[in-house]
Amino acid sequence: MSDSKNKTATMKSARLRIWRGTGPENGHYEEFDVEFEDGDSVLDGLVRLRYSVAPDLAFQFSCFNANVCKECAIKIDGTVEYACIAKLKPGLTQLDPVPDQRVLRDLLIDTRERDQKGATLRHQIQSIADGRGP
Amino acid sequence: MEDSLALETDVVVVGGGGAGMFAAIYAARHGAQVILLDKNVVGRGGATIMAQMTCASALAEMEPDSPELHFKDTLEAGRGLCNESLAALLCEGSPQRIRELAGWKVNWARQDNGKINQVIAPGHSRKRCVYVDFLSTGVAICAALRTQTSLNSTIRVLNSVCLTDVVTRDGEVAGAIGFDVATSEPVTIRANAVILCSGGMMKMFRRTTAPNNNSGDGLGIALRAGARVIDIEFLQFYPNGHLAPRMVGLDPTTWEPTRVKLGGRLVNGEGEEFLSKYGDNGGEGYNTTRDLLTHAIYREVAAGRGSPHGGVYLSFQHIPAEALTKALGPVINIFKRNNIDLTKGPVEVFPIAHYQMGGIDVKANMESCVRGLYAAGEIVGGANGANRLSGNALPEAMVFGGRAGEAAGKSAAGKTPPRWDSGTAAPQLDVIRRVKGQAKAKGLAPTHMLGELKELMWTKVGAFRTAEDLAQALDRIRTMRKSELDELSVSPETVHNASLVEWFELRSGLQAAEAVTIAALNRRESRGAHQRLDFPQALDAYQVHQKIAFSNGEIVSSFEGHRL
Repeated sequence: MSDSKNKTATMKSARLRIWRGTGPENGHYEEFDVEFEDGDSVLDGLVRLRYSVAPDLAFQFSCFNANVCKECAIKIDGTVEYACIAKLKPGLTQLDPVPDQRVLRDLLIDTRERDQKGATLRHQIQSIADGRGP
Repeated sequence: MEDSLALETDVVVVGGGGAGMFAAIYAARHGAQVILLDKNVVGRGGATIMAQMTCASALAEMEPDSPELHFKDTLEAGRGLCNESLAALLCEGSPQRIRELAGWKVNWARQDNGKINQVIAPGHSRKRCVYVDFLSTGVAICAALRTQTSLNSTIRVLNSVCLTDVVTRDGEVAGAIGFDVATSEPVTIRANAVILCSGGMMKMFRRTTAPNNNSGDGLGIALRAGARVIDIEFLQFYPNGHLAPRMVGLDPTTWEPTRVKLGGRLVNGEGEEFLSKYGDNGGEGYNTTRDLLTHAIYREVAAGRGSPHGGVYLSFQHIPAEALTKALGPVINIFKRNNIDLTKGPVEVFPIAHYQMGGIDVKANMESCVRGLYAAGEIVGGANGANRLSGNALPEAMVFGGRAGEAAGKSAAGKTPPRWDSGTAAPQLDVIRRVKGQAKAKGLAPTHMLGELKELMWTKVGAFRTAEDLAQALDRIRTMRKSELDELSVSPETVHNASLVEWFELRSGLQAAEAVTIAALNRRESRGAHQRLDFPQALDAYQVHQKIAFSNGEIVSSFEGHRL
């Protein structure tokens, strides 16, 4: 009844080079090694890091590998993909936030509705109070 | 700048899945100003969007059917513990919601004559389940509801707001407290009604189909506010959960809709079809309820007849490739990307934590025993008794969501929001302020405890339980809840600090986990989804509801009519 039986024999290692910071001018790359088995997704690797050495790593997902919430898009080796369907591979993989979007932190971009983009909740509430609409 | 953000509305809806969006739409329709919030993204987080196929509704588009027959099947599956009035509401209300969604452009699969197509699903006596191809039912429902909520100017949608407590005054709801995940700033909302639609607690199992948000938040919030939880020992383990080979980009529940459409043979590690040994009529037909199927698969594996990864095989090799393509469409390509070819070999499956039958105890208008505190969707207990019929989760979300929205909207609309002074929510706000600064030099991260809790629940509070395992789990959960939670180290980040969210998930999730474990320990029988290896029979004396309350810092349980 275990899905981890014989797992150690088949584990491989990926090195993830991940953008850390709050914007393109304010951050740096950090590298992590993460173990995986064939078929694991990049999202599996990111979650594994959150549960081990990088609990403060910021990225977004909800449905976890089902590819329906569409929240986990990131740039993987230069191409924008969903982290939940891109597979981990041995060796180096570079992860950046989706380009041309406001980066909140690390791999997390601002996914609020277009007219709320860039606004904190405080700004949204103020604009509602001022009659500028939600 | 003030230390907290202050909002005011008639109705707060917590959770942006199917139940929450329906609740918001109906509350607004009945005149209320609504705040619809989600700690993630409204319309994308939650379990509804993950629903692949079956949605039960007695539309009678294929053959004669009625809500009464649907109700009868629901009670049969519930093994004597359904709250009959809630189950009846679910079955009666479902057809109206399906038609309403069709009007909102949900593209239900149709027959050649234009009528909605309906298929039989396990435990149903009629072809009753509607769906959107291909395996896109939940995605289509959520897209339609996102449009409806965003078009409605009386619904204010707030993403990335994590609710932590409901505020009560004199036994009535006075509002809610949480924080803006984007900035970690506390948020206060004065309101006359709160509707909890935040889903179940199934994230707290290692092997789970639940989305990342379903961490038992609403159960903890409701218990702390004085509401009761009913029959929470009944958690559904989805029998055909994907096990191997590794598959991503598709929900692990994929195989049940595939079996509903195509049949499919379950075979043990020795190559035998085994369901007939457990009372199923065997063959390609698929009509075994989820509790019995989970039981059969566990038994085969426990007897040493499992597949290499510790499950059983599910084979579609007898089905022609053209039939597979017709039934599954583009899903075949997702299998291909995962090196799965159903014409060439079987996959391995094993039960996986899926759905919470028990939950908040509500009246027929979805209000708990706390005035102004409502609930809808998976978080509500009772409609599904000890085992949920497949296809009943979506109508539960939609029907209960609408009912809760209507009742809360009518009662709260136009009332002046309660006046708060600075002391009203001070204790709840203090928790947020304290935890934000809880950076301990040698403390562990919340994810560390989450990992331990998920493993503990999976190994000791899973589909097959014993007094020994449950007692060990209870001991550990209590230690985590009462002392170790306050020793965790929360990251000092303020921008989208997941560790702050996870601390609050644990605060409620540990209460939910403790409630499940105590209830499972107390129910010394086996019924539906609650199976005790040390008490293998269903006993008439236990055909009663078990209720949980939170009192003086302790989870306390009682069976109807008896105090334990």
